[in-house]
Amino acid sequence: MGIDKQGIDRSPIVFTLDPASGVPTYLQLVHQVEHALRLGYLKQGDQLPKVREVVADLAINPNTVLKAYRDLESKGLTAGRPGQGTFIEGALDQIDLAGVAGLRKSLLGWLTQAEDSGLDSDGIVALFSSTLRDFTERRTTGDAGGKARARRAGGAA
Amino acid sequence: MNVVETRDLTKRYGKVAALQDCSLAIPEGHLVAVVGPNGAGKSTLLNLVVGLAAPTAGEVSVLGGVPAGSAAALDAIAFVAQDMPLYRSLSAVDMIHLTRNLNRHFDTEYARRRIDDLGIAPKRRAGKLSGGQRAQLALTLALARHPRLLVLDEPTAALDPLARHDFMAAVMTAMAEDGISVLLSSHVLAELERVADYLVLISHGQVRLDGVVEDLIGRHLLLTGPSLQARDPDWRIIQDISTSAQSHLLVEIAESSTHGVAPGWEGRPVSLEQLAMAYLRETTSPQTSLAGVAR
Amino acid sequence: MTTLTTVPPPVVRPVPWHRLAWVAWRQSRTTLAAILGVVALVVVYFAINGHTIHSAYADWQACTPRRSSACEFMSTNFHNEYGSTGLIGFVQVLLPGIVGAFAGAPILARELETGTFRYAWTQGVGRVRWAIALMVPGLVVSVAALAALGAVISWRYRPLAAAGITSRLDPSLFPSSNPAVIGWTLAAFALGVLAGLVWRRVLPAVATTIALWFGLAVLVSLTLRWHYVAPLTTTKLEVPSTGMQVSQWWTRGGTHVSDSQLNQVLQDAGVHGTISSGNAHAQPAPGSKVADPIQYLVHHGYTQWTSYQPNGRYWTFQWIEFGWLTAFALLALGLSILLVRRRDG
Repeated sequence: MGIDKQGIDRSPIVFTLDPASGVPTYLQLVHQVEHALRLGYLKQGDQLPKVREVVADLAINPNTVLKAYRDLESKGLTAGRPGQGTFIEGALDQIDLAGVAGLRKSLLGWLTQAEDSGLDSDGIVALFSSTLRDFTERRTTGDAGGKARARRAGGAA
Repeated sequence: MNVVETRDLTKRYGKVAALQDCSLAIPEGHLVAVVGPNGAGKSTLLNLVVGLAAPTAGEVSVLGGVPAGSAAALDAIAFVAQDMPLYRSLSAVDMIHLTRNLNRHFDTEYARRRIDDLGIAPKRRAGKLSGGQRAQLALTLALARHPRLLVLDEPTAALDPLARHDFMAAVMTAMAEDGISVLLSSHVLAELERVADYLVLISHGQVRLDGVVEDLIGRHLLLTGPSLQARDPDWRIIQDISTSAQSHLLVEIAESSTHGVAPGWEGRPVSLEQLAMAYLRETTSPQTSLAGVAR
Repeated sequence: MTTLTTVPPPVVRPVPWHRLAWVAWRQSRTTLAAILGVVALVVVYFAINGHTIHSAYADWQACTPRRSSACEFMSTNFHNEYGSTGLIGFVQVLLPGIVGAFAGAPILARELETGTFRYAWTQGVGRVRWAIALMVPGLVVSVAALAALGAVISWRYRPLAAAGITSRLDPSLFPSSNPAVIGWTLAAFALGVLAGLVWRRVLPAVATTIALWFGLAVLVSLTLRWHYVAPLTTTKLEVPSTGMQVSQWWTRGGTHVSDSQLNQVLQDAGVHGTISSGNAHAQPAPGSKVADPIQYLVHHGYTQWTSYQPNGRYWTFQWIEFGWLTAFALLALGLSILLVRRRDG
């Protein structure tokens, strides 16, 4: 990678790491990219930080960074250009408000069911967290190459 | 290509077996963490890999079959021993010159630049540098040889957190830039998940667990459930913490297993630290892991 | 699991010697400076001292007539002044051992003691070439320094040897002269290197080396040296002082007579003096009224035998001593290299 490191070619975002969060490192990187996309910090064509820079900043394994970038690429969000770096290609759809209202309604129904079967607030949170973890794990380990659909509103249920 | 390969590697000092029947096949391009309690045999393994010790039995080869300790191996492997031994009366510039004269390949330019960047006084005796600076100097000398394998023995044991971070950042950068493989030993588990992508776990001179971290984590599961709940025969139970009512299990799942978590059990992925701790606590005679049998 | 995949290792050209020369020099320059300093001091002492001796000798030789009391006085003075070697003789014999020990022992011991061998032996050069290179400066400088000292010492003693005061075979002079002194230096150096490897610490290695070397030196000076070639024997009472006496004993009618038997005879005859190791102590001055035990025994049919090494064998003995010491040193160095190869970190 011989690109000069002047301001023009710097990535708009920089990664941080929360070592105590319990979330695997590569996932934290993936989430930060998705979060930045959602909030508009990253736009189409922007470059992700170079592997070397991330590694020098955070003292993490370069294979971890590569894994995160591969993950993003398999989700269709980024594309690597040989000799240049990794760039944003796709976009995360904003969730439309109507979709959110529908999700909220079905969630309230589920919460009533959960309470009826005896779960209290903490129990509900615990069940939801572990199921969400399983769901995320299976999705990331299950997606092996190929472009996948970006998250769409109403897909979860 | 396997960067380190051993077969039934054994090292005895007198009657004590520091390392026994160690068989590994570590592919290149990883940062390999060799973990275990003090005296487990980590340093012994590293010494055998870099040629400082010769095997009592078995074989060890590096970089695709080159015998450990041979001239070709010495040429392509850089080692930073515990306590970073440097000649205390020599300055950084002297050490650079010294290392250059002891090797066929040495990037003097890179070494001088790094010393500058790190703010190490080039003419000051190594004995007067701080611990972090000495570590960085030792690492600089190793990296300037542009090795294919970097071996570090408890490199961050005596460093403060900032120095530790800077040190590992330098190691990782070298991995990213030069594609070197790294073999390091540590008895601190907490920070490993960030840096290691291959694990070798040694306890009492025996390898208990080894493999790519991603695979290891994928093969294990943390399960919670009622203690009377039926257990899946596909599980190999590594750790079992049970009360009369509840059981916490850390299990290895056979590759052949296709179904999800058995009913009644709540599963979640295990962290590298939890996995290592559980295997280290395994005090029964060593069982090769399910995947190990297949090798 | 099948056997390890082995490939013929890629050929790696070894690190050239001139690069290692810088390393060796840099590591040992302090020690070498100290050695040169100390030896230089001793050389200066002997040069000054030797100059004094040479002047006195020249004056004495120039004195005429030779039988005058003035010249006899000069002769007596010369003999008294420079007859005994004293402390300096001890120092000149010990110096090769000390220099060799301090030059040789730290080479490997310091690396093992401080742990820097873990750095040095994992560099591309390899531990054997490294060890050999590291030995060269200490070896060369020690030998050169002691050879220079040996030359000065020989020069200093030349008038004394010419005057018959000191034999060249004298135990304080012989091992300090060239080429024997080089052999003794090599032996100390090699012992030092080996001791350093065995002890893995500098001070015990130096101490052990000096002790062992000194023990060897004493053994050689007392017995070994005098049997390089079978000694000559004579029944003459006066043995040339330029030679070195090995032992004395008495016979009568072809059979050996012990000291105690001789002393019994003397006692019975009322003669003062005792015989020990075949010789009499405190012989009375010529012309005195007290009977000389030696003369008494000779007149009564006893024969005194003396075995000795003549001065003429000096060079033969020098080369023999240099030869076996050098061989010993080479063996010790070879053993050290072998141990370096096998030593475990």
